[in-house]
Amino acid sequence: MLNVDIYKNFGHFVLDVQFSAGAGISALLGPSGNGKSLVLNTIAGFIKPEEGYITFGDKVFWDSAQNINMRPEERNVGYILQDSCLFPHLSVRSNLLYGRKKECRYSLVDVVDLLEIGHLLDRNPRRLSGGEKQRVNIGRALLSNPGLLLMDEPVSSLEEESCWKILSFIKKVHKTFAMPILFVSHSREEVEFLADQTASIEQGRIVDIRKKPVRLK
Amino acid sequence: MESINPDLVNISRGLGRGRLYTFFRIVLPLSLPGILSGAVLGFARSLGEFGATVMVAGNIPFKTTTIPLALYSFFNRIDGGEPVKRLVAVSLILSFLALVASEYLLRKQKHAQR
Repeated sequence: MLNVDIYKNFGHFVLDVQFSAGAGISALLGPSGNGKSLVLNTIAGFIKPEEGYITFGDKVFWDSAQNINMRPEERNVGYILQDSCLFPHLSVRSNLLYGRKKECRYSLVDVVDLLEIGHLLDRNPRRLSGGEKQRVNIGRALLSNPGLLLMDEPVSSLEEESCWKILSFIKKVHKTFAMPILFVSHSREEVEFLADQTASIEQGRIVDIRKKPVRLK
Repeated sequence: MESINPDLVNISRGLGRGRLYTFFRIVLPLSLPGILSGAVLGFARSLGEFGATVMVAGNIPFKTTTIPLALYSFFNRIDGGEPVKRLVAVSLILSFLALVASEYLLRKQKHAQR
């Protein structure tokens, strides 16, 4: 279970967010510029809040009262960005194995088969399509043996067809590896397709939490 | 190094790699063409250095004489016309090669970071 209670004043913007996310797929839904990505960056350890705490299972990622601030590399969180951000000087195989841990629950073959990227292993990331890049990106995060996957608008830069394909892969990853996922989106359709629990965020605050996704009219 | 996408560094750390590992596996390889280009331009700049060389190393023939110092010496000799022409040609060729190498390396870096 991920528990987040954070406050940070950026001057022009105040982030004041409290929510819990379970073992399923949880979504932060809201328009651009409302603090969704800031929340993910804070959980991943790239932004330090001023007050509050972030815990995941028995791990305390950050706690202002106890003065705990775990480094990003110790948090064991897979982070997937909108732009796939593969390392451009490494092959797809080297990208996949970059963060691989010995104790990883899944092998390279498991991940490659699930994401259907076996034919891409020896290619350079520059020669991949947007959808292929994002699948490699998900594979790379999985092989680092994360306890939680954070996804920041993972399909927003893709064309519609690739977008739904990647969303299906995300669902498959969750189902196959029982991986908790917290993803951020501005699209109600994506959230409805994926999420078990949705928190709506506006102006840096959670305004609504629903266990079941909102049905489209 | 500043031109490297900071997300790549964050991703590396998110994948469980520390600052030092990230520096050697991501930052350094991606900035290597830029570092080499800087070195080449530095070498080209040194071809024009006169004052510092003559003050620090002196002008000892076949030991510390650089192209600018040799040019100066030959320029002040009555029979130095021919060597001056040759040294000017060598300087121009070296400068041009350094410029081409630096431009090539910088383009390679831009391409690598795309």
